[in-house]
Amino acid sequence: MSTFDPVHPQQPRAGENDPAGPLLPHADHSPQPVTPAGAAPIPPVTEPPLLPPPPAIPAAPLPEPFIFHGKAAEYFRIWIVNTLLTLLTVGVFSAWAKVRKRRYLRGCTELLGHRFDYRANPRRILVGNIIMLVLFLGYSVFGVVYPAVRYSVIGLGVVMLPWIVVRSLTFNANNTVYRGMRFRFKQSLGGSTLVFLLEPILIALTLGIYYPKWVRSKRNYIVENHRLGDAYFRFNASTGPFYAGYLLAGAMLFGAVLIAGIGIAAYLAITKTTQAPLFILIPSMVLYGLGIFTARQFIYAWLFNHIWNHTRIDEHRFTARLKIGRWLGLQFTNLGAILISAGLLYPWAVIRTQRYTAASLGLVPAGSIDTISRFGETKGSAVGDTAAEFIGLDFGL
Amino acid sequence: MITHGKYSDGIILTSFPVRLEFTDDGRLLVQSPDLALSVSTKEIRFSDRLGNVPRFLYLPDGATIETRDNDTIDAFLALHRSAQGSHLIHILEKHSRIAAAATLLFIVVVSCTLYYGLPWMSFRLAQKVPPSVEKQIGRATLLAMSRHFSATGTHARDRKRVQSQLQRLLPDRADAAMPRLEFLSMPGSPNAFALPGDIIIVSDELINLATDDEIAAVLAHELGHLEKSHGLQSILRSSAALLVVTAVTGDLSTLTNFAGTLPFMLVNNGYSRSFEEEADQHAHDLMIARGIDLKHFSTLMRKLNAGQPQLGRALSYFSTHPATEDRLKLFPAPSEEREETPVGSAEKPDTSPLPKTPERTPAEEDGTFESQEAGNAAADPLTIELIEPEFTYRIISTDQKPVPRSFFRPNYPEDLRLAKVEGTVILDFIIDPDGNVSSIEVIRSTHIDFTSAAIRALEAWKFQPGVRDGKPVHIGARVPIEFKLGAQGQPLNWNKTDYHPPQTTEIKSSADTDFSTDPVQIIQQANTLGMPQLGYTADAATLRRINQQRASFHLEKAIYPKPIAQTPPVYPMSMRRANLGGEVMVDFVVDEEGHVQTAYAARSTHRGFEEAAVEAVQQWKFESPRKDGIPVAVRISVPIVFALNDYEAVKASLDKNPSGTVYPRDEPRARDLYPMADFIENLDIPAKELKSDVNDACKSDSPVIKESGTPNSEDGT
Repeated sequence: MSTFDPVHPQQPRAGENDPAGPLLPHADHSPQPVTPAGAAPIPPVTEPPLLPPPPAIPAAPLPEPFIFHGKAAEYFRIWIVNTLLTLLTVGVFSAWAKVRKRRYLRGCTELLGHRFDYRANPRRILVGNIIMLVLFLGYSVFGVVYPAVRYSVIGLGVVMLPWIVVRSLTFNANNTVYRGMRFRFKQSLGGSTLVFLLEPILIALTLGIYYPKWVRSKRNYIVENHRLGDAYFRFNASTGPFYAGYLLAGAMLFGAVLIAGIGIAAYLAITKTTQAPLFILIPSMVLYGLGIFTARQFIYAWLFNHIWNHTRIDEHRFTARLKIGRWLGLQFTNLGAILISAGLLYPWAVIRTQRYTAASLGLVPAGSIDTISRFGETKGSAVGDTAAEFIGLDFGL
Repeated sequence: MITHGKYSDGIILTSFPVRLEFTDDGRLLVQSPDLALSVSTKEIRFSDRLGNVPRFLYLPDGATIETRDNDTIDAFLALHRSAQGSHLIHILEKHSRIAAAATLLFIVVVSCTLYYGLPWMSFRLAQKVPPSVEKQIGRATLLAMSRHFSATGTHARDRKRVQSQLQRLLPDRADAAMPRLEFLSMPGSPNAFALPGDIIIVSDELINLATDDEIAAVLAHELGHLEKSHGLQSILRSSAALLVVTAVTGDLSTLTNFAGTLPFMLVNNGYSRSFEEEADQHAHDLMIARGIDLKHFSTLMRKLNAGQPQLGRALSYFSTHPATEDRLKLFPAPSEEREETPVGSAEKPDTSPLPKTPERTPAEEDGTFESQEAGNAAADPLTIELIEPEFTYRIISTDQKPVPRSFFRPNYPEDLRLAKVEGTVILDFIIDPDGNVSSIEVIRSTHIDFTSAAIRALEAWKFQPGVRDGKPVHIGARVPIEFKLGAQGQPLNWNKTDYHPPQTTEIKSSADTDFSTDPVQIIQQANTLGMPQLGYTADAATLRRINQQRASFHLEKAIYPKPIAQTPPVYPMSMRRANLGGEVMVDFVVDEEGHVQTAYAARSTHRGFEEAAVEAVQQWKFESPRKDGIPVAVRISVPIVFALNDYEAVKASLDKNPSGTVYPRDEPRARDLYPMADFIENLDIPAKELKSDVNDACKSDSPVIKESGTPNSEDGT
C-alpha cells in the first residue's frame, strides 16, 4: 500500500465518493477486491474473483488535475511581439519566437504543483528551419524548373520520414522538462519505419480500411517510446473505438454532404433547372465545410479521451474527460473569432483550447510519482545531455 | 535578497521547498531542512523572463530550482548581469500599449509585404530569371498538363485558325519569336493558359466555342500573361506568401488545417486576380492596337459564363479571377447587335423551333452576328459592310427550301486586305435537318487565306432546314463568298451585284452527312457534293478539269516551284479493304530550299486518307521557289486523290503526264494525279487573268460547276 503525494492531498469531488481517503488499491495488481479501508472486513469470499487492475469507476483514486494558468492577454502580447519580430527579421527570429511561445504554454501548465519547462535551443531550431526552407525552395521553386529536383525532394522526404519523425519526437521530448527531469524518446528507427513507411502502404492496399488501426499504431509507437526517467509510458488502447470514432466522423461528413446534396437536388427538381443559383450553392458549400470541421474536431475529442484514458506512465494512469459537445462549441467559437478578427484572436483561441484541454486531463498516481528517477545515469552527465542535438527538427506531431 | 522556490536535483523526481538567498558576494544559498548549498551565481543559468511563467534556475550540477518570484530574480539580474536581448523582448511583451502598437505595425507590415513587397520582389526576380530556365519551366509544366489531359482532337484547320489569330495579333513578330501554341482536350473546360517560356495552351473546347475574333481576344489576354511573366511571378509569389503565412501562423503544419490554408488561399487568389486584371488590360490595349472590336472579349466571357454560377462581386475575394462584371468594364458589351434578327425571314417568320445542337447554340446567339443595321458603320475602315446574300434555291420537290437564319461575315484576311487582294471562294455544303452547316467543300478559291476565312464563317451559319413531306431533310447548297475591297481599301462583302445564284441539290434524307462505307452511297454523296470520285463515275478528262478549277489560285506563276520528286502516297490498307476512294487537300509550305514544311490535311473526304497523304507530301522535293530570282517560301495546297477501282481512268489521266508513274493493277497505289508543274504550265494564263477568270466563273454558270454539281442531282428526288 502506498499513499498519495503528501504535498497534494486529493480533494473530494462532486459526484465521486471515495471514503477510502488516502488509501489506494494495490500497486502490485494483486487480485483483491477494492475495499474501503476502515470498513468492517467483509466476510472472505471462498474464492476471491480475479479482478483487473483498478478500473476507472468512482471508487478509483482521484485524478490529479493538469492546471493551465495562461492568460489570453498575456499570450497575445507575447504572440504579437514575437510574430512582428519574426516578420521584421525576415523569419530569422522565428526560432526564438517559437521557443518563447512554447515555453509560455508549457510554463503555464501545472501538474502536482510543478510547471513544465521547455528548454529548446533556438539556434538549433533555426538550423532545422533553414534546412526546411532549403527543401521547401527546392520543392517549390527549383522543382518547377527541374521536376527531377521536386521528385527527389519528395523521394528524400519519404525515405527520410522515419528518421525525421524520430528526430522530431526526440527533440521535443528532450526539451520538455518536469521537475528538472527531461522526457526522453527511445529512438527506434525500425519501429518508425514500420509505422510511417510500411503501414501507410497497407492503408493504400486496404483502401483505407486500415487507417483507424494505423492511427492507433502510430499513437502506440509514439507513446510507448516515451520515457520520463526510469518510468515508461505505456499504451493499451483497444482498436475498436478508433474504428467507431472514424465511422461516426465519416457519418457526420456524409450527413453534411447528404443534406447539402438533397437541398440542391430538391431545388433543381422544383425549379427544373440544371444550375443551382448561388444562394443555394453557398450554404451547401458552407455546410460541407462545417461538416468537415465538425468531423475533424469530433474525431480529435473522441480519440483524445480514448487515447489518454489508456495511457499510463508506469502504473500512473491518465484520465481524460473531454466533453465532445463542449469541445465542439469551443472550436466553433474559436473558428468564428479567428475568421472575424482576421487571425488576431488566434492567441485567445490557443489559450482557451489549452485551458480546457488541461482541465480535461488528469493523472491518477498509483502511489507517489516522486520515486521516478533518472535511469542509469549519474549526476555528472546531466548537463546538456541528450539535448545536444544539432538540428532542431520539430513538426509538432 | 531572499526568496523561495522548489528544488529538484534532476536525478529523482522528488522536489522540496527551499529558501533562496542571494548574498552580496555573488553566491546563492539554497537551504532546506535536508539541504544546504552554496553556488556561485556566475555558474547559474537563469531562464528568461516570460510573462508570469515561473523562473527556472539551472544549477551547474543539473539541479533545477523553480520559483514564481519573478521580481526578485529580475532585481538580482538587473544588479549582476548586463541586460540581454531576451530582457528587451520581455519589456516589449509586457506593456499593452506596445502590444497595441505592435498590432498596428503588424497589420501594416503584413499588408505592405503582401500588397507591395512580394509583388515588387517577384516582378524583379522574374525579370532576372534567364529565358532558358523559363523555357524549362514551361516544358515541365506542359509535360505535367499533357499527362492530365488527352491530346487535342481538333482538326488541323482549327489549329491553324488559332495560329492565324496569333499572327494577326503579333504581325511584326518573327516566326521564331512567336509564342508556341499547344492544344489539349479539356472536356467541359473551354480555357486557355499561358505558361512560362512563351507557351499558350488552348483547349479544344475553347476553339469549338469561340469565333475567330474571340480567339484573338483570348490570345491577347494570354499574351498579356506572357508579357508580364505572370507564370514565373506566381510561382515566386505563392512560395513567398506561403512563407509569410507560415511565419505568422506558426509552423508549416498549420497549413494542413483551416486556419492556415484560408489566409494562404485568400492571398494567393488575390495575386491571381491582379494578374488577370493586368492581362485584361493588355488584351484591351492590344485589341485596340490591332483593330479588333473589344466586344469580342465580352461576347466570349458571356459564352464562358453561360450556365455557370457567378460568384458576384462580394465573393470574388475567394476566386482566382475578378468578377465578370468588373472585367467587362474594360470591354464594352455589344448591345444592339446582340438581338438576333433572322435573316431573310421576312416572308417566312421563323415559327418552327428547330432542334439545335447545344454546343452551337451559344455560339449562334452570342457570336459576331451582324444585321443589316450594322452596315452604317462603313466609315470605320475596319468594319465590313455586310449585305445579305440572297439564297434563292432551285429545289426539286421540296415543300420548303432552306432559309438562312443567321450568318457570320467572314473575316477579311489582314495580309490580303493590306495587299489589296480581292477574291472569291465557292463553297458547297450540306444543310442538315438541324439547320447546321456541314460537309463544307471548297469548289474553288482564289487564295488559301480566303478559303479558311470563308469556311470558318460558313461553319457558323444557321439555316431553317429544307422540308420535304413535312420532315426536315439534308439539302446540298452552294454559295460564292466574295472578298471585295471598297475604294478606301475597306473590305466589302457580298455585294448584291456580284451575287451568283447558288445551285442547290437535295440529298436523300436518309443519307448521313458522314460518309458511309457503302460504295453506292458514297458515289451519291460525292456527286451531290460536287466532289469527283475517281474510279467510280467521272472520266479522267472531267476529273482533270474539275481539279484544275478546284486548285488554289493563290500563287503567282512566277514563283511556283517545280517539283523534283513527288513520292506517291501509300494507299491505306484499311481504306483499300473497305473499297473506298477519296481525296485529301494537303496544305504545306515549300521553304526556300525546296523542302516541304508543316504539311497538314486541310480537309478530306475520309480521315483514313489524311495520314497517308500528308506523309507522302512531306517527302516531296521542289526546286527552290524564287520570286524575282530571290528564294522565297511559298504556301501550296494540293489535292491528293486516292482512286481504287477504275484503274483505266487513272491511267488515261496520266497519259499526258510523262512524269507520272503507273502502278500495276494488282498493286493499287494512289498518287497525285495532277502534278503541280504540269498543271500550272498547261494553264498558260497570266496571273491577272487567272484571277479574273475565277471571278468570271463565279458570275457565270461555268461548265465545270455544271459538271460537278449536276450529274447525280436528281438522285435524291
